[in-house]
Amino acid sequence: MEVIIKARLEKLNGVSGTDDHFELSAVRVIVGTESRTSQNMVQISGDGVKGKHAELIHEGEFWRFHPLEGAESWVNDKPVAARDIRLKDRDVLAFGNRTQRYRFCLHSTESRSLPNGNEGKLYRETVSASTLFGSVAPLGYFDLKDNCGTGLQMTYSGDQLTFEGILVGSGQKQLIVEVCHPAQEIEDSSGGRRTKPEIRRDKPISLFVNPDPRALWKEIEPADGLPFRTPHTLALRVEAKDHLIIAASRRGRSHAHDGTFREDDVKVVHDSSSGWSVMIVSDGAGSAKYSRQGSRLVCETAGRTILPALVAVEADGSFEKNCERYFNNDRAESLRSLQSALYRTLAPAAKTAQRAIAEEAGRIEGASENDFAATVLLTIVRRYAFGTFVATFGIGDGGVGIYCDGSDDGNAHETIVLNVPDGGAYAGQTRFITSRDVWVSGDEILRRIRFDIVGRFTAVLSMTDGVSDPKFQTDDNFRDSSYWSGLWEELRTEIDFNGEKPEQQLLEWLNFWSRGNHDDRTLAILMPR
Amino acid sequence: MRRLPVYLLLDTSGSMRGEPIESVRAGLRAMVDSLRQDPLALDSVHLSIITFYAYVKVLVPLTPVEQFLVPELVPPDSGPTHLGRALKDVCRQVDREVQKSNASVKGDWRPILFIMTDGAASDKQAFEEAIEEVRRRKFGVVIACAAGAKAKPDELRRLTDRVYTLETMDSTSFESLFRWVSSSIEVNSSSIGVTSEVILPPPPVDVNPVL
Repeated sequence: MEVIIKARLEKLNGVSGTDDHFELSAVRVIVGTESRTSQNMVQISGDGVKGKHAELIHEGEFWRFHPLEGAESWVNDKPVAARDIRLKDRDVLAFGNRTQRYRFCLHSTESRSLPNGNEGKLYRETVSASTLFGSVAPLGYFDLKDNCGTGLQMTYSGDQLTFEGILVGSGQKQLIVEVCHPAQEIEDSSGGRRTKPEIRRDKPISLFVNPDPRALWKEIEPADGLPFRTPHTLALRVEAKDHLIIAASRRGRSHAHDGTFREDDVKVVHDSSSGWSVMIVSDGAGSAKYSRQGSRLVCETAGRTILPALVAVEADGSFEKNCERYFNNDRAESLRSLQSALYRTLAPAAKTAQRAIAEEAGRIEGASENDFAATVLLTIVRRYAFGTFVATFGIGDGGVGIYCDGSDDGNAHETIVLNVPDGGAYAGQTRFITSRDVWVSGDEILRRIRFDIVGRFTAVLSMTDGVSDPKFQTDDNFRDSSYWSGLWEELRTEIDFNGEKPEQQLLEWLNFWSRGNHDDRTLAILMPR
Repeated sequence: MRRLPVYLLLDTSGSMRGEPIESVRAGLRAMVDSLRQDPLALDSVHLSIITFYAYVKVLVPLTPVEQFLVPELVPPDSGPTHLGRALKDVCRQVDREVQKSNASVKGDWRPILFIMTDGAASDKQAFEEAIEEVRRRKFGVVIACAAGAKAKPDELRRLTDRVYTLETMDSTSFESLFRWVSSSIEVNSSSIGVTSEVILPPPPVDVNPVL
């Protein structure tokens, strides 16, 4: 195993820089007239450096310094003539060019610390004893006298110590290693020989063990008296003639830990007379204090207003005809008609939800619309004889896709993504139904409407970022069917869609562990049957 | 996994020598310990320590808090306080290390900058330039702490409106300062950056807001 030596050169004059920290056991130094940007600065680089000025090579307890031919160098302000100079910690070395000298102080940042470990995880680190303890040569044997209850064991080979084991407990630990310098024959001042006895010393080594994050999460009930109380979980099922919709929403660990409410919400509706199904998922903004009420208003209001609008649009049969034309690639007229119909149904439903939020904000003293900020993913589905129509209107993150699994018939998996998330440069930056710029123009609204018509499909899935972040990570992956098939595989392993309560199994599944992803999670699934 | 980058810019000029710098180190240790007890912070916080006096040093580049080892802080005997230059280097590190979102990469949370100094910037011109540079980086929050009698809170007010003074520079005060910084970090690791308004927990008794 390669030993990484951490050290740094402290620049004593010249321009301040950030290039003076390195983690290599061999370092080449150039004095930079090499590149325009470095402007007489000293650059340090591990490899690929032309125009070398000097080399620093770490050997056990010291650094070997090789000035290269023709280069001017100084150690502790004395000019260096020979090669192969031993440098100790805190020696000052200097590199020069025609006009200036650059002075550095050598610090090894090694300390008697092992790299941090994690509770319950396998730990295996090999370090050199001379790095850990400074000068200990000549070396005899080493013994881990006290592992401080960490469960670690130590083996050694030469001066390489290996600490290994499944870590028990957490926090700052101090291990004690006994270092033995064996007896040796030495020459004394009178020229005779004598035996220097064996020396044993106990050396402390510190090790920090991070606690198991799973054990740190707390489950705290929100304080009494807070308004807009929300149950921590929600599971829904709607059975239609030719399809099933299940949905579940679960308070995230981060909210449970802080004793705050779930801010996601979900609503699924089916109208058996018209055949339309609707799924709405909404994610209340973490920084908005009443966002749980915002997401609830989004789901309730949009869920209530969308159905009558869809029934009206379907009334004269032209919508179905246009769908069929579009599906059969006769798109010249049908695309425009369908877009127009969707603009007249989806946008008003979302706009009504936004108005409901504005009214609610008006009723509460000191509250503004932004206190109710929430995303919306509104999905409508209608199954026809020729295929299934799916349309979405989305503001914010999370996503909707139509997934077609190919594993049973040997085809490729396919996914049609129906939502382009609103993201910013940094995490957590997105748009909400309350954002002014969403509603500025017809084009901006139209941009948020997507639809497709598919023949065969496995499921339509709509989710908040609490699910899409851990399962897809990036927007590119969200367009990648292999991620969708991975997700579907998990779901169908955990959920018996023909069983008694698949929505409860979905709710259980939402509890999955994913490092760093502890937001509220909501997923709605529509599948044919 | 989304990272929360936290930059700690610490004054290690000559006046910090002795007890103050040891107290800072003890404070840092307390801060890191407390971050590791918070499951959200343990998963997301990445720390960088940059020190400055006449020169700026990236003592610890952005490192996950679970791998973080509290470094030695070595102040020189004397010398100027190049705060302006230090802030510019912080900006350079942010440009280099903080990941912005794109289609194939998950962006970090907006970074947090904490500044602690016990003096006034001796590089006035660079400081002027740095104010604008810092503003352009769009930190989630910038917290500045003026420690001791010689610090200039008014100067720091030009960088951020979250300026605090620390009157005594002993280990108790620094420990409560850094514990408060860690709780501010924890608050931010669970909030979503939609609004620019970041709410900090109330500071401890030793730490006084400059209004």
